[in-house]
Amino acid sequence: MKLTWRAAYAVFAAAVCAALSWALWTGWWTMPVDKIADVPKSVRDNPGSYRSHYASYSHRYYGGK
Amino acid sequence: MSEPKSLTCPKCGAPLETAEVMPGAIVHACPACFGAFYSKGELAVPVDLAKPKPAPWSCPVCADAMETGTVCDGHIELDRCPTCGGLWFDAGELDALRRLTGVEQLVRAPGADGGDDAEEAPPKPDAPPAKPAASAKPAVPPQKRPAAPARRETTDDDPAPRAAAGDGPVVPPEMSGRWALVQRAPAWVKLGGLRYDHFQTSIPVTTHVLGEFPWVATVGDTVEMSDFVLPPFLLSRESTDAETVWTLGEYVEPEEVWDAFKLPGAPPARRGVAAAQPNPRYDDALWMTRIGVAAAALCALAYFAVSSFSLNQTVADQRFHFTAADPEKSRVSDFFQLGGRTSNVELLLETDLNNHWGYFDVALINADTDVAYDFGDEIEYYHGVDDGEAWSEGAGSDHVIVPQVPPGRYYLRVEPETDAPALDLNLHVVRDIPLLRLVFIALALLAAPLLLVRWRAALFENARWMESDHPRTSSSEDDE
Repeated sequence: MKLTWRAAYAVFAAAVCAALSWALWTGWWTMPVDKIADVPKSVRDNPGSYRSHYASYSHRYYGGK
Repeated sequence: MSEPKSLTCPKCGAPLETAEVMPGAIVHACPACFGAFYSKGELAVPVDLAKPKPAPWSCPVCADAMETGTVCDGHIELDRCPTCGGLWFDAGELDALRRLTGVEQLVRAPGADGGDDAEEAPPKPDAPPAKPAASAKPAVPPQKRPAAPARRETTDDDPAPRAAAGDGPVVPPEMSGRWALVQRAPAWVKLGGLRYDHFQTSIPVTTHVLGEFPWVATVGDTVEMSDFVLPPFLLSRESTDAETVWTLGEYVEPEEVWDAFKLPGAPPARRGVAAAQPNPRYDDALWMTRIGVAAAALCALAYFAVSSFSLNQTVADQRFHFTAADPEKSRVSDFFQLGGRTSNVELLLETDLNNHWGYFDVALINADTDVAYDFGDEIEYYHGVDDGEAWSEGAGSDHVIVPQVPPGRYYLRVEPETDAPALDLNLHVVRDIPLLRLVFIALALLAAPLLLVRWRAALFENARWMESDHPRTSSSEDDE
């Protein structure tokens, strides 16, 4: 049982180290970003034609303090 | 004193054994009937027999006929040799003498003041510290100290543990109507360089005896017993007037006992935690801590290694101005190049929002592949004074990490929503920054199992010390 705990933790620790190295190297982060393909090149000339997924976000001010 | 080499018990005829009840003080004890012979001058109490009469047995030392008389107002009947002055105590009589005289230290250390003349002096009923047994009144309450006159173990002087600081005030515990003056045990003792923590001090009372013992065991005998633990070892101190005996024990698993004696079936189920039972979580916690520390070091190494390769480079810095009157609020930036490998991009959005909010719909668009990374960010900054107290909420700037962006030529499209009549936005783009927060997340992940195991180890220790004189309980439990 002791060996199981230690071995499991050693594997877990190795996985954490590997995941951290991969995340640091590839620039991984938790930020939710939509990846959209085939954006029309006309967007640069007519930026208002681009419709973002985030455009439907509801923006309301609920007040300060 | 010229004594025969082999002495026999005057009562049962068994060969007497010698016992050193304190350094230099030798008595002859009978292993069969548990009587003991004390030579003249070995007792600190002058014993004067009342109404002596010839006894049917002989002195074990000089073989002359002994005489029988009473002490302590007739409560105890003793045998004395009129020739050599030695006294014979049957089993329990020495303890009775101790109780009735109230003198705890009955055996006198060799060389102590008084010498043999003390017994010849006339009785002095109230003369401290020793009251003549013949006229002594029972002490109330009797301060019972254990008697082990014929016990053969002696203090092992050489490896005797060193007591730590902690010998505190005298406390009078009561057990089953018996009182004893004991001194508080030290908090710990050291033996062989190892520290043993005090676990428990108790005063066991002999209620019955079964089997053979290498010492005289008498019903009513008591001993002050202190246990010190360093699992799996248990160091015990048994103290009587005459001696202190240290024993070192080691915890044995029930299965080992069953296996060693080839006992049938399985050992009974364990209840609770034994004083010296090894903590099964302790080794886990120790090893996992080592692994965790090594892994944490590797994480730090990975961070510094990746940091050394990171560009951490500002690739764009562009300002936009928006007004409510603009018919088209969307803007695009100039092209900029994201170099290096696939990595992150940090966007710092700085605004001049003042008691307003703004929401920014941002797209990072690859001009070559037409792939967009779309996200939104809300910025609000409010401040004021209420009831004379200044307050503020939010901030006029924010930063966003866009993960895993391949290298290439990019531009930004920004569309704001705001309740401000006019807004200035400064976009600052940095390529490939090492995120230290990832290291902290990794450390938290590494620490979580460690905390779990340490918590389980602590539960085990709590169960162990719950049975000790030092239970580890919360204050609320203490109140109960």
